[in-house]
Amino acid sequence: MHALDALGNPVRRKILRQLRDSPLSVNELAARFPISRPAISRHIRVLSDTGLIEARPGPGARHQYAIRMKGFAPVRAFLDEFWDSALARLEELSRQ
Amino acid sequence: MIEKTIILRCPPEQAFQLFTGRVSDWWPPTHRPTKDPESELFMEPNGRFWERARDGREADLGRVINWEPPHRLALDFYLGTNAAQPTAVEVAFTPENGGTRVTVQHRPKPESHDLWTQRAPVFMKSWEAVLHALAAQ
Repeated sequence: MHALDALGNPVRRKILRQLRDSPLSVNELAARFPISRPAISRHIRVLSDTGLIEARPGPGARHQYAIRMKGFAPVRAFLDEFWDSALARLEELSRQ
Repeated sequence: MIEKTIILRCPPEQAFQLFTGRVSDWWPPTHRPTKDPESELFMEPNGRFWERARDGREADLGRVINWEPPHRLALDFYLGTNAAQPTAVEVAFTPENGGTRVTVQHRPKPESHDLWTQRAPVFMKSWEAVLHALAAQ
């Protein structure tokens, strides 16, 4: 999933708003939402798989999640993806 | 370096013409500096390589450095970086089995070398905009 798709969900946007103020653990986040902890964990996984948030060591042995400011691809990966898409379109164009 | 290659089922003359003359048709609508998915893109032998949005806004996409139809094309590229720190694109058109192998090589230049592994400024801007919008809610 792409970072922008991850942002398409209202619960995930709300999680990001919570994390904007301070890093939080899964339990702390779950306490702020009327949905189950496994459901929160699934949203957290999507956010962290897409690079929007990251786990950090928190107090005790707990992980905390925080906004990852560099949540988007490096230039090289961005251009790599650009050419995959561009050349596929060029190939299609040549068949018309 | 990024290297990509595809085979087109047309001769090099036509492949070169498609690549340079129909940029608007192959350039992904999601990667346009003007943010207009239906903008027009131009690659010109005299060096200009630019975009014009439907509302008339223009943006430079880079520079044409070498124009050698139907064999080679070299571009300075601003996408993902900026005009002061361009990256370098070389495109080769080679006949192969009655079609054309198109090979794109994309490298950082000395001035953009350090940017290569950093986050694309265009995306950083989007992300900052997202955070700003979230903060406003």
